[in-house]
Amino acid sequence: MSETVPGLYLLAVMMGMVILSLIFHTHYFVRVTDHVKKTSDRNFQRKDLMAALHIPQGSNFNTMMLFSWILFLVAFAFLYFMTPDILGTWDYFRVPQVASDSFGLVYFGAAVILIPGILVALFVPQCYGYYQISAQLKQVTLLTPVFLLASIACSVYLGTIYPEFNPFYWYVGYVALLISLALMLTPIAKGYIEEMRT
Amino acid sequence: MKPCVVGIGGAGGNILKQFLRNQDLNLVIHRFGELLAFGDVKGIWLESATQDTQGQNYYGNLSEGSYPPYLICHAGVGDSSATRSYVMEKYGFDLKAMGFDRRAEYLKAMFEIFELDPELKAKCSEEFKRSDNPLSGFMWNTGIRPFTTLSMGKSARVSEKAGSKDQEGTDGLPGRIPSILRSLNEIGRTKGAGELKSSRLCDSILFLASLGGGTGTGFINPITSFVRSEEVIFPIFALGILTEKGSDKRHAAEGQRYLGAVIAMYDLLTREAGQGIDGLLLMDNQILMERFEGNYSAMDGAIFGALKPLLDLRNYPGDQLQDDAPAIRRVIWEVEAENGKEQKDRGHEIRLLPPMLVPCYHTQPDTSGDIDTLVEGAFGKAGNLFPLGKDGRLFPCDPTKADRALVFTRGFFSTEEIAEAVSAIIHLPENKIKIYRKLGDSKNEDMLILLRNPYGGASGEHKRQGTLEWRLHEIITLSLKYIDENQTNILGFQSYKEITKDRLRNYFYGENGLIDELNNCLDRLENGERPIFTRPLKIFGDAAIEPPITDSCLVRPEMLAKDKYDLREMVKSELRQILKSEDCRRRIREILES
Repeated sequence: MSETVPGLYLLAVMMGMVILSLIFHTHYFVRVTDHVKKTSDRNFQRKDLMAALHIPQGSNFNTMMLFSWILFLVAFAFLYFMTPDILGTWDYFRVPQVASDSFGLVYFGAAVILIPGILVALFVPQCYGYYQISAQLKQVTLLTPVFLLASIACSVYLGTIYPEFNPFYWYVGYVALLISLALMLTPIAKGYIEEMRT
Repeated sequence: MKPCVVGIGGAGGNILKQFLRNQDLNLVIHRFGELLAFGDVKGIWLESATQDTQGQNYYGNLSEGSYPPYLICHAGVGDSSATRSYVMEKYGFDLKAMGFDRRAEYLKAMFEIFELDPELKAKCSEEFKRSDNPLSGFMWNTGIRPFTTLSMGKSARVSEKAGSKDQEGTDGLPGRIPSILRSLNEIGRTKGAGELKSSRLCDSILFLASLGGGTGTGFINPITSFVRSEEVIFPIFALGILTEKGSDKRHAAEGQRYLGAVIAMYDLLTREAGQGIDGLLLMDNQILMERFEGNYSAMDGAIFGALKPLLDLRNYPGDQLQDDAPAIRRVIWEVEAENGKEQKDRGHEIRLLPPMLVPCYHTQPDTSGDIDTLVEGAFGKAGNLFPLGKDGRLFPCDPTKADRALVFTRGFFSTEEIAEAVSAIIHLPENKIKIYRKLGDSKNEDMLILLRNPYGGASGEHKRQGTLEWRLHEIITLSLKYIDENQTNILGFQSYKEITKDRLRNYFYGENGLIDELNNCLDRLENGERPIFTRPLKIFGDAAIEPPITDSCLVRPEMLAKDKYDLREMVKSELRQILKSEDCRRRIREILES
């Protein structure tokens, strides 16, 4: 692991945000189910409640979120696995045939999209379908790809100057990644906080 | 309920914008899939004035495949149309006039001639092939029908053959990417792919129009009647926004606008079940003006906001069927149960007239108040009807007069507590309070209550400020005053031919015409009778129809022949008894001697 940036600790911060959001998302359903049970005239199954709670968010928003999450995975992989400077484990340059190719970074990104990206595509957009997301908040999420592209650009720069390393660009890439993650998780957090107030 | 919302005229178009406001992310340069509106409603703007459609960039031309679309109602009539020439030469009406004449009776007359003039019907059928009314037929087949579930199946194929060849369908969107990305919109939905298309179409129609303006006021009845002539049981509702006091921006006098409103309401509410709308939702722009200090955007937003509980699709688990538009329609038409004796005593069939539905709406944050404060916010404090605009009533009325209440809530409430809270204020038994619960959004909760026919039952209510009788009495009185003082303005329109002037004169000023009938309406309002508007009137038809006997919100037809015979015999017998009496003979002798 690099001694210049505390990559693992900062990774834990991001993982913590994701895990917290999962907890919020789960607890949100617990609370709503509780409200509905207390006021409903009849028994119902969880899948009926899920169907009833679903709100269509629109093709544009779903596309943007899907794109953002996939890009997030790419940005994360680029930031942590481009060079051995961060985690010291497997990195992009351990596959010289890819690293030396003119389109090596493209192949790297495509590999990230194809494998974990498919899992993201199947599950992530559904999560947003259970929250009332205002039009303003949806417009704010448009900034997510901007920050992600900024993070990717920083990582690509670090990859091109390797074996040199510039911590400033890594931190910029990390902060951009963190902000984009916060933007993507805001609808869930906001929905949960509003639910907790009731 | 997923209505196709049809905005008619300027006000209808502005309010429709609120209904169709995009719930999706705005990418500016491109749109994946269809525009997503609240409640997944679809909409179209019908307008007669082409110039009004040019001065905006929200709606696009339906014939170019734009969405949300507008449709010029006379676009299907060519400049050199034989039908147009015939109507102009015989009656003095121009089917392609921009904005028409902004009078309800102009459009009413113009649509009636298509129903009643056989020569015109023949010309129209020959020229337009698919319809005997080039305006209504065009608006329905090209504009509205394709958005509804009626456009699917066999009837759809018939309709498509009859429809305009310029129509590109409801999904004609610029830059739309099909299949893969479209399915992104449906990730997580439980409906299967085979159901997707039908679930996006509308199961009812909601017309939006001002009452007292121009195009909307004049069109709303003809178009609803035409739709009903083609589809007898498809749910059709109308939301009429009664014009505010004073002159409008086009300097149309208050009396003229109220006259238009009264004519429109009159025609809408005298069409029996199966011939017109299923219910008229009434809102008073005067209340909204006072509440929002003349901010029309805020007023439009408030109108849309009040209907959100009706349109929200997030029903309680297991309650999806409650949203069925035909079921809501049936509930709105429901009348009192009768026992066998009542049916026997009556001996003849009851006819039904569409009800007035007054919306009462209130919203509050989830954390403040409970169901009781929500209901009180919607109705106001008991007995406190004036001043208006301080509570959730969107049209003046006394909520305790309603004979039914349809309650739409968004929030986490039980059926029992809702029924109890509503019943406590309006004193309706719980079997007459129909409750439709939707899931809350954890931030705000709201409630829309549609009060059916909240008037009648007591005389003198027209003097009590804040009642429905009071407001209708006011606008009918002003309309009568306008008719009385403006005969030249009403009849003297430059293009009217003599036949039209004669018929209009008869309609307004003739025996059993509009003046007589409106005076009868005033009497009914003063006496607390129901319904208020009973006898259909036509300009070009026979207005001399015997007034029907009325009861509650029902209309009885003429007496059966047997009943008439029995009555005659009874009167003869009584007269014989009277003439035989000594007192009567003495009086007759006195008269002869004098």
